Amino acid sequence: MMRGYSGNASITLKTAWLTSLLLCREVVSQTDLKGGIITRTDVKEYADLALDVRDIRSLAKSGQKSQVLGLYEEGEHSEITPGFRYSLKKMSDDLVDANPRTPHLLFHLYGLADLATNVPLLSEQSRYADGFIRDMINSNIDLAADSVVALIMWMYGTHLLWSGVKTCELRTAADNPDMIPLGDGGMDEFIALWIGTDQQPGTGDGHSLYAWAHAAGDKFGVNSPEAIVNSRIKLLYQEGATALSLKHACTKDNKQTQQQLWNVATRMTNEMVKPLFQWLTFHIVEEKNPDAVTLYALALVPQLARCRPSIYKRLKENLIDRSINFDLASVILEDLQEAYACFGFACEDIGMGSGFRSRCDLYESQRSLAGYRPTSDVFEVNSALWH
Amino acid sequence: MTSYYFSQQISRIDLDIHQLRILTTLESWSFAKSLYLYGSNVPGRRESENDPFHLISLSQLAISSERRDADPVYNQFVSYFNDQDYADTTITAALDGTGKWGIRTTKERAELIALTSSFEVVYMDIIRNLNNAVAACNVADPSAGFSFTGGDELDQAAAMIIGSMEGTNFGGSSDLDDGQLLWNLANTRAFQFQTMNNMDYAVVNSELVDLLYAAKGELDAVVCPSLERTVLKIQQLMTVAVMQSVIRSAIAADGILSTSSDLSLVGGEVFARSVLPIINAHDPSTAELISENMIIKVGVNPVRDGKEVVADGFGFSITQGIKLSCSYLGATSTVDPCRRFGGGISSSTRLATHGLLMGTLLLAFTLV
Repeated sequence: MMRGYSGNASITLKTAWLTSLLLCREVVSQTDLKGGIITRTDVKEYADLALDVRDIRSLAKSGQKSQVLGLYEEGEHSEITPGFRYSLKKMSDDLVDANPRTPHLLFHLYGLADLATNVPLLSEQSRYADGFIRDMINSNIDLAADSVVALIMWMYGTHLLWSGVKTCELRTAADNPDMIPLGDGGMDEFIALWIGTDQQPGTGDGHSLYAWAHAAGDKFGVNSPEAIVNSRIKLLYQEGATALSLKHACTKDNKQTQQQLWNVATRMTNEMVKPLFQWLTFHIVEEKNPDAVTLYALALVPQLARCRPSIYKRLKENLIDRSINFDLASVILEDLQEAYACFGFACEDIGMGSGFRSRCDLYESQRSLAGYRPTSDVFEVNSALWH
Repeated sequence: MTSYYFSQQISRIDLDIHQLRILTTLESWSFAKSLYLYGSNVPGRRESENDPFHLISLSQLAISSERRDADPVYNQFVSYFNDQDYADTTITAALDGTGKWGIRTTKERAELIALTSSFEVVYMDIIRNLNNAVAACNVADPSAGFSFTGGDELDQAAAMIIGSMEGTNFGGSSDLDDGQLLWNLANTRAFQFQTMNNMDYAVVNSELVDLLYAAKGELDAVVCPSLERTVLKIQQLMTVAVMQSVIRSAIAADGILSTSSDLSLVGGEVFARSVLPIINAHDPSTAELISENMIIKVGVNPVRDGKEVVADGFGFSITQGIKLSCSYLGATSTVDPCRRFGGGISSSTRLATHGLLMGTLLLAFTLV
């Protein structure tokens, strides 16, 4: 049962509970996220952000705008720093203020700014998520929770992974690596954020990115029973965690860790893009909901700035610069399906919900490079190559 | 034996370059360096699921010992720069902000890194793949069946000439912002130098594709001397867009100061570096002339002899050293590199070349 927001008693109880938890931290230093994922460090507070999403969704159903806004801004269930509630709004602010900014955020801002390379111009775009979420809370509250997941938690997930790589790099270069705390190299925090508290393995019964990816996979028939994206992210987490657990990880005595983490982060973030493609396609083809299309366009299309500029430009014009014209759906889908190749996906990696595949067969049968058709498999597009 | 650098997605190396350009332009130097070192878009081939996953990176291509397979071109570059890792040295210095490039602007450094990656690093790997196709042909025993992998090497070369970002349309993307590699460079220059074919893309690209198909036919038929000639012609044509780009930079940089942050200075230097070792091997005095005009030196203004002199140098070099018709270079509204060597491209030249290619193709398929 959802707890009400802003009850003083609940805050006191929560604080007392967290205090006792912190006192026991020496003993309870792992977090069991179920489905075979037990982290090496205590990252429960990251997982508990899923409970804020749960409550936002529940409050939104009854149209309680001010409570949704309050929960978004103040948070309720998570204290990343003991004694201070952490909120999804704070997470968005942390992304804006991040130093250094990590690759996916930079690509996103670059895409939002029409490929501008002027750093101040990019900074003007940095509150895109917060602005959109506030609009949704006011105008289409049903999308508030999904907006938080797709815009803030998704991007913060990539940020955690790249920040871990960066920390590893700094430690590897340091003469005294112990001076630079590695923590779990971003891996534990990431997987806790991705799966979230109260997630039932292999189902959409949960509140965070795992459940969101599962629901997308369901619509495209790619779950067996777990969404392939989730299975792969869990495997990659294990690969990253193993690299970090090796002796002298991220030091001059084990310089390989940095590259291993980079490889894991690259593949994980590629996997993370799949649900964005699925949700955007679903809302264009099935739901025909302009606000939901705008949400997922805002989450995906700026990322395509790192792909072929022509496709990015057309999609931005058709989906972000103006409201979608559903009469252009087939043209838009064609562009989206061409963009799969940028991430190494084939159509079957995204899935084949009814009506989604129309352009895929055509595109894949005509696969060539500027008209040059190879006889060997040098242009194979298949995400299996990445695992 | 299949190269370590073989990938079923090698055409995606252009995405690494594109993303490297974005990150460097946005001053994300640390992540850009990791992208250069570790790669991001090209998974290496694994023989089985037990082989560890690895990415192929620009850095690996830039320092690979397999570059020796690109001889004699590789050796020409090493000798000219007196540095085995000439491209890696340049890129690393620009990423770190050290040496000659440390004092230049962010945009200049970003441009230098992207262009050096495309036209020095990837370029040499194309030559390596082409040479390996010839080597595979030379050791092939037709009576033992066709088990050699030279066809893969030719496809790898094609993938690295064209890249994934050109899309599937014949001739490549109509948006010239898309491509990052030689194919795009040739199409970009073709408009300015009037060297487009009647399908609105570069004549050299059209011929490169014909030659790649011809090479595959010759390889399948194990006609190795013909294959060797075809591969040489491909290598010659690969220099055309780079030479046009130096001339274009000379036009843009003529009259500006060496301290200017105009990107034509960087382009001029990188494109010149990409072709100077080849020119030097045939004609050191022309190479020196081009170097003096295009390589940035403190206190010396670029293109000091004027754009016409630089263009003339390329007109001379392409005809006398590289042994191609000067008409491949074409002409702009302000300079004609071929004014002393027969003038710009003519339709008869094109037809003659296509006739030659069709003959080669026909011969190859007849032999198959």
